[in-house]
Amino acid sequence: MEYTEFTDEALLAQIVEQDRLALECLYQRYSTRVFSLSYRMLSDQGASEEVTQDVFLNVWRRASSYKTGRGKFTTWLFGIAHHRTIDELRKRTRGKQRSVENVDDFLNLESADIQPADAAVANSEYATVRDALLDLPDAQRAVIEMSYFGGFTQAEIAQKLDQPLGTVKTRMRLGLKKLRAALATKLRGPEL
Amino acid sequence: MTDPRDHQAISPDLAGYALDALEDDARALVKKHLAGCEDCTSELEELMEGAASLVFTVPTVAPPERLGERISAAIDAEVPASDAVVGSDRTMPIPDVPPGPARHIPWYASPRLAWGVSTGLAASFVAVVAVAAVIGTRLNDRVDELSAQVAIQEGNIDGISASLGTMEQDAKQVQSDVQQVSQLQESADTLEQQLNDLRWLQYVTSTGAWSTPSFFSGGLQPQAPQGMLITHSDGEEARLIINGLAPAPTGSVYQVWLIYEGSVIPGSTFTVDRNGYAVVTLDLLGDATEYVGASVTVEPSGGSEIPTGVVVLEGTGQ
Ligand SMILES: [Zn+2]
Repeated sequence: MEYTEFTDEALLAQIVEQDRLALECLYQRYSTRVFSLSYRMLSDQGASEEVTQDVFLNVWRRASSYKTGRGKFTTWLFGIAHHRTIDELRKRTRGKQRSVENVDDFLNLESADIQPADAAVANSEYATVRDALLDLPDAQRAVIEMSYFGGFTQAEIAQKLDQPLGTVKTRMRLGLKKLRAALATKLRGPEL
Repeated sequence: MTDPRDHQAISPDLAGYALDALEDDARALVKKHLAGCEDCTSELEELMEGAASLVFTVPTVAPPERLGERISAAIDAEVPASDAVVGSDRTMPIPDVPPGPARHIPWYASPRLAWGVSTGLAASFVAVVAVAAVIGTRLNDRVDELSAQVAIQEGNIDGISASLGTMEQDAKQVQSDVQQVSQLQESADTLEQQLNDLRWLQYVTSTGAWSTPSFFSGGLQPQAPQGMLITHSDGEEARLIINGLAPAPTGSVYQVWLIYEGSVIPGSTFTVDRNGYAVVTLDLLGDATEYVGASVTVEPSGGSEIPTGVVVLEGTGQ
């Protein structure tokens, strides 16, 4: 049987059994996504390679900690990738005051800044998420992008935007819920 | 477990947690609360999905080729080869594996017998079916006859083994008995192998309108379990005939998975008889053309929604 026909979750079950081919297959599927995320956040090829390596070693070692029925595999994987990248980002900026220009970058984000990914694989996801992101009220989009891509904490964002912390938290929550709902509706049909 | 005041204070931080936008101490508090709060765990799942979707907005840049090799080398460096054998399952109890050369056989291979590829049956299957249809009733007689012989042999083995267990014999007698047991065992194994080949033919020839089988294997070892999958011409049903599969560990069962384009559908759970033999009926959801293969894994009793245990057999469909 071809591993390329396995679902992510089935491959992960194989990895729990120390199956290297299954890991290779997941690597083929997602290494570009993981690397790209890290590269977007760190703008550093070497560090992004390190992060990607760590992420897949983590998948190898901790495959059994993925809880089936507790969300999709990609959510778990990208969660690990993001967390690991944030660690790296904060290490670099610790003690340094990041400039307000960074904040403006996020606030001024235009649609042109978001480009199609590997079109054949993820056109629908890409278009759906991009549209959903652009549909968000600016204030929600800003806090999500500042935190997710910029690595700012919610407290830092509140300070930089001169908004109450509670407002920032609520905007994050509403924004994420809308992104998720948009994806669920487009990919799984309107009943969700 | 959950303090409602905790919940009030923590739940607004879930989005920040999903976005990795919390300070370390706040993150630790959320983590602690999540362990005891199902509501927050569910909400976090949704928020994490929303956050993960952002990955798809990032322009893609492929990592260099060498990165895959580096990861592979890093794994080589940390996993001793002896720990990397198939079946080193961390979630299932694994029966003791006999020492010596036999340790290369996966635990799920029945130590008694296996049929299929090694007997040449698999390769010549189509031709054999034609012959078997003619020998019809004699086949049934032969199965009964062999079953009786196997039972006798096993009775002999049990008898001698029991006397060995009493320790009331001299060393010479013990040696001779041990030798006899091993010879009887070998002969019983051969008989059982034949018996199971015949059972298989008997089964197939007693039905009509079945496809030629696709072959399933649990590994390359001659002792590895074997399976054959045949699909009915109505496209709604398939049967998986399995041999050489050891009984599943206590508290677990075997489960069949039907692999369709892009999804895995749970099939029935089953157990094997003491010869490692089972026939499992699979519901193909009325569309045999869509399915691309099947596999058998070990799962906790009652079965699972997605495969979690060791894969003991797998193969592709027609
Ligand atoms: Zn809670």
